[in-house]
Amino acid sequence: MGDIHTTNKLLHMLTPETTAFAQKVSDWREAIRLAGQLLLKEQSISAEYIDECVQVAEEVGAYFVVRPGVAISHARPGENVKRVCLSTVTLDPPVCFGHPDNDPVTLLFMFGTRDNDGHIDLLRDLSKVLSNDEMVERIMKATEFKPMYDDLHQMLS
Amino acid sequence: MSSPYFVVVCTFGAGSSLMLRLNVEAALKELGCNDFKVEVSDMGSCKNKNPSAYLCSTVLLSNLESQNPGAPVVGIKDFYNKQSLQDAVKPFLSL
Repeated sequence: MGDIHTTNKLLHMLTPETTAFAQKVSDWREAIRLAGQLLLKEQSISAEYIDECVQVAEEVGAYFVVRPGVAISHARPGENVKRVCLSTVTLDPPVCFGHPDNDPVTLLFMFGTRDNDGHIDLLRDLSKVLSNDEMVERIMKATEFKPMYDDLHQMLS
Repeated sequence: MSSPYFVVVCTFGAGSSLMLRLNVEAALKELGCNDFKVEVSDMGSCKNKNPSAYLCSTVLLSNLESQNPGAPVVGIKDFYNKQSLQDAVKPFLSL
């Protein structure tokens, strides 16, 4: 549950509803669509945003696989996003996104933002997590929301 | 001695480049450099900024090079590998 008392943006956005563990998908497109569905269900984005995320990856490539095993999908900030949002999906088995060095991907985030700065605190928090190899490993192996949330809470508080 | 100036580029200048920027700034500080400028740009508006170097994902390297012929461009594989980030920026620090 997003802890309402925290000022940490990442913790605030992590909810059981926007998190899915050990998902089996056929390819990276399905992985992105799945991450998008979690945000669509809570009406944080429109369906078009998911199409855009897939389209960006098709046209530009898998540049958003930022470290081995970790991808951060998003599309252009704007009207297709209702509010700053984040979903978290782990993939089992891991899936290739087309990055020459960082494939396959086990941990996929999708974020949305309406403008170019509303999400900066969120990305800063997320980046702090991604700098921590052990924490990345733990999220990749997580199977339940609460222990993962507690780990992150401890690290970020 | 001029301070190094890096432009970090991704598709929209809103996601991975922001994260890379944080790590590049950290790498510069780790190298003892505290006087620098790192800015984020999207692919469409990164031209003619005349930085010490452009930085981007290896996936965007050829695209960024073709946008900025002759400019120094460094591709980064793992945005969270401290050593490779230091190696990427080191050649552009004036001693």
